Amino acid sequence: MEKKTEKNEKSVLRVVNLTKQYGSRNAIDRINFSIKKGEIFGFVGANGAGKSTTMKIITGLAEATSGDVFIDGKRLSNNFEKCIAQVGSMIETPLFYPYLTGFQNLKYFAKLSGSYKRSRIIEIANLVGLTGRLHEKVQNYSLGMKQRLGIAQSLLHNPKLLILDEPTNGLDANGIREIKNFLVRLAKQKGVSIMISSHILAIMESLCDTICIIDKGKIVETKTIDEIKKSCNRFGTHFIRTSKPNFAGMIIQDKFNTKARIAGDKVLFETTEKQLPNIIVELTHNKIPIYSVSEINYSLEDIYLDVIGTDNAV
Amino acid sequence: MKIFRLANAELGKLLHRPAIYIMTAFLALALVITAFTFNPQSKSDNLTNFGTPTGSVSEAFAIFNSSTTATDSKHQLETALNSVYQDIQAFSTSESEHQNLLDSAKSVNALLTTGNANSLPEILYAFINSPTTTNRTALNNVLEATNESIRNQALRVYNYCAGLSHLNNIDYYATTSEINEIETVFLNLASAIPVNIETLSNEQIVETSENLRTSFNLSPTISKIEGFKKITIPSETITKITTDYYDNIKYQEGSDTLLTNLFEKIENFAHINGASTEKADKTELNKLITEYKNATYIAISLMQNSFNLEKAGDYSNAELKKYIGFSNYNLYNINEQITLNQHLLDKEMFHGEYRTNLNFGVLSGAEPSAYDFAFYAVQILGIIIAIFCMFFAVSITSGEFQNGTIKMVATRPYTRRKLISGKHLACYQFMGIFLLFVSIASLAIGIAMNGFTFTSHILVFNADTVLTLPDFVVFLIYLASLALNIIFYISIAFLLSTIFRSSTFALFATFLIYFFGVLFNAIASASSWLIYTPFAHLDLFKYLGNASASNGFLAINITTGANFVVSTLVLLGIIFAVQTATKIIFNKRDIA
Ligand SMILES: Nc1ncnc2c1ncn2[C@@H]1O[C@H](COP(=O)(O)OP(=O)(O)OP(=O)(O)O)[C@@H](O)[C@H]1O
Ligand SMILES: [Mg+2]
Repeated sequence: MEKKTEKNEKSVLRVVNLTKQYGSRNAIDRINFSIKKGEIFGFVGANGAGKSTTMKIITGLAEATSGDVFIDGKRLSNNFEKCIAQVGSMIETPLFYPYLTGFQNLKYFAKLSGSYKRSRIIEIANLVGLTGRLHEKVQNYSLGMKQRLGIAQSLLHNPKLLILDEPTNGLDANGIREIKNFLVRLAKQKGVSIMISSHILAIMESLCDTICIIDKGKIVETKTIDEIKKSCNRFGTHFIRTSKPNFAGMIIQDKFNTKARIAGDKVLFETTEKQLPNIIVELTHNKIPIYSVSEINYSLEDIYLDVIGTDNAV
Repeated sequence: MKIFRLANAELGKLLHRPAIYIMTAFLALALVITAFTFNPQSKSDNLTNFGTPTGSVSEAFAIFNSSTTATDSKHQLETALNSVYQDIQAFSTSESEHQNLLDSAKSVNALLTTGNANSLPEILYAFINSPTTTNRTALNNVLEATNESIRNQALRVYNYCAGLSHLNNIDYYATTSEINEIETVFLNLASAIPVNIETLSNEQIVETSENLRTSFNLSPTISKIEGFKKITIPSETITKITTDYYDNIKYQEGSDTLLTNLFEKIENFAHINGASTEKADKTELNKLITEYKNATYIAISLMQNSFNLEKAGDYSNAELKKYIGFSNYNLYNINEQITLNQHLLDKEMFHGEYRTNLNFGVLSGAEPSAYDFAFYAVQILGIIIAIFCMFFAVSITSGEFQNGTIKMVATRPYTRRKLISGKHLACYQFMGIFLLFVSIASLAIGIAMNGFTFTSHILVFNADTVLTLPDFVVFLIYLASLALNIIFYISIAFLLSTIFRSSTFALFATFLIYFFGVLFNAIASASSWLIYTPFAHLDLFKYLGNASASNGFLAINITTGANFVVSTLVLLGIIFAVQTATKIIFNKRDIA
């Protein structure tokens, strides 16, 4: 019992067997994961996979059909106010009162959190790059500006846990970089835990400590970026493109004692830089046309597509 | 408290919306228009106006004392008092219309049935057995007599029905449908007999007679008439009413009755100041005459109302509604009038210098004062405020759902219950601010227009208790009652907004219910089932007199057989139930 409490204290967010049914369909199905202090937790999955649904339940916008959410060790369903006070969130598109200025919107939300300080709002506006336009009406904001304001409102009350659902939506390249740097600083320096979802896997790869892949409401993979990188190597280090991939694969396996994997017109295999010229010579010797030879640079995208398959459109 | 924080933030946002300034401007404009339309009947309008600008006091007195045609002359007032007295006397002594109806129905029936030697069937058989000219003449005569009797009877029923609108003609409890049924039977019977019998052949006469004999049996009609419950008032009761409100009051030379004493005052004044042509003296004379007039009308009202109350017997309002002559009966109002007038009579308050809710907002009974305008203005502007409140409630609930901003609020540390309670509170504050604004502004305008006079406000609480309160207190009670009215509609607006989540739909549904309520006031006020609807209980102010807190635009003005306690409990119960439902729905449904 005591041990369990200790474990709870370590994770800022813990989700246990979370299930949400819409009608007879499970939008999410017995989801489990936890996020530690200062951890950036990436949530990836196809459209309709259940990312937003999970985040809505965590932020109290939707009620779980079954399962529990623990924030800072407390059960969300019976300590709503205490739990949510720790959470800053932006779920899907952030929406504001169009007749108020950005500043007035932030002031309103800050007042609701009971922590309105003008200096704090200015500081946050600075962080998200809105300073110049803060006193304009939100109805005149661009998509990206609203997105920045959305991130700003999630930070107002210094939350321990940030839930950001596709925060990079509509941001320009600069904005994305700024926000990314800013989030990393927030996590590493202030110890804020961040749960973030995005379809731009390159961002996730460079931002997150942990990646959780969700598919059709079920979690299919939860790994740290390091683990992912390591496991990637099982497919090999190099590939060649050729018109005779099967023959080439056979030769590589037989002569060089390494596993080769065929993918389309590519042959993937593990080797060293030293050995590579020998392989090329051997293949040429066997009259196999080689179009290109290259190192394999695995990206999260490859892993993702590998795990959930490419035909996974909604 | 967190709910207050929510409400304050909600109102803070409001200050940035142009709509709030438009609303305020609209209210201010409406207030100005109200000020222009305010035209109270002043106390001087209540005074009698005997005498001419140049004439003397004794001349004015002479007109009052001897004219038989001048309005409010002694003679006219006596005639009015006497006629009510005579109505009541007539009721206790008159031959029962009910008995007449029954007797003649029986006599018609006797003409149509066998047994009686002169009845239609007997004469008919005589004619069939021996169709002589003598027998034919006898049959003709019987048919003619029957025809006439039936026509008379039909006419009697018809006249009776036509005269039903006058309550005093009624001496039994009958429904319209019963009377119509009886009337129809007699009219059918009358039309079954040809008008000119002489020209008919023997066969046609026989056929007509056979028809009448076999088709018409009046026994069911007779038993229906017999079944009517007779209105009875014990003669002691009649005597008491006429003694208290006629014998002890009417003018009678040399006696010590109320009107005699009041007349002597007038006479004395006219005797002492008879030669004066001063306006002030004539006004003083008219004041005394007005007291005489008011006393007369108080007596008339008491006599008539006590009599009416007795006629109602043990029936309730709802039961009475179905009987002819009782459709406009409202026992609550009758009791209220009696209570007020008895109080005025006991206290000998005939000067009319008090305010009462019974003619609230139109005629103060005293010199117009700031409060008269304030009551009048809030009565009208309260409706506008109510509509604004409904708009506001919908915009901060379904408006937020529609714009999606609700999710930005729902992810703050407030339980759903607090969130919706905060919105309710914000709406109450919104209402409070507007009511305060209108109250203060209308009092200020009222002071500017009519100045400020202190008059006692006489209220009849629950139809049986007289309260004399300062205007200010009555105004506060009035505002509280109006606020409860509005809170009911606010609660409905929140419930519908929570259910529909679409502003257009919620607003439409809320206004539908609101207009339904107003419509109810107009068309369903006489229905007995009204008491089972929330609308009958919305206005608590009516239990302090006949006036509605909103001029009938927010709540039903008429009393429905409930009383203050019942209506208060029902109203609070409904508001509580609606708000609980709102909280449950708001709590249960996913926000996004
Ligand atoms: N209110 C709702 N009613 C019914 N079904 C819903 C509702 N909200 C979501 N769903 C369903 O739940 C599933 C998960 O949706 P969710 O929004 O969580 O997906 P997502 O992973 O956020 O997708 P995206 O990448 O497009 O944002 C989808 O199949 C969706 O159709
Ligand atoms: Mg989503």
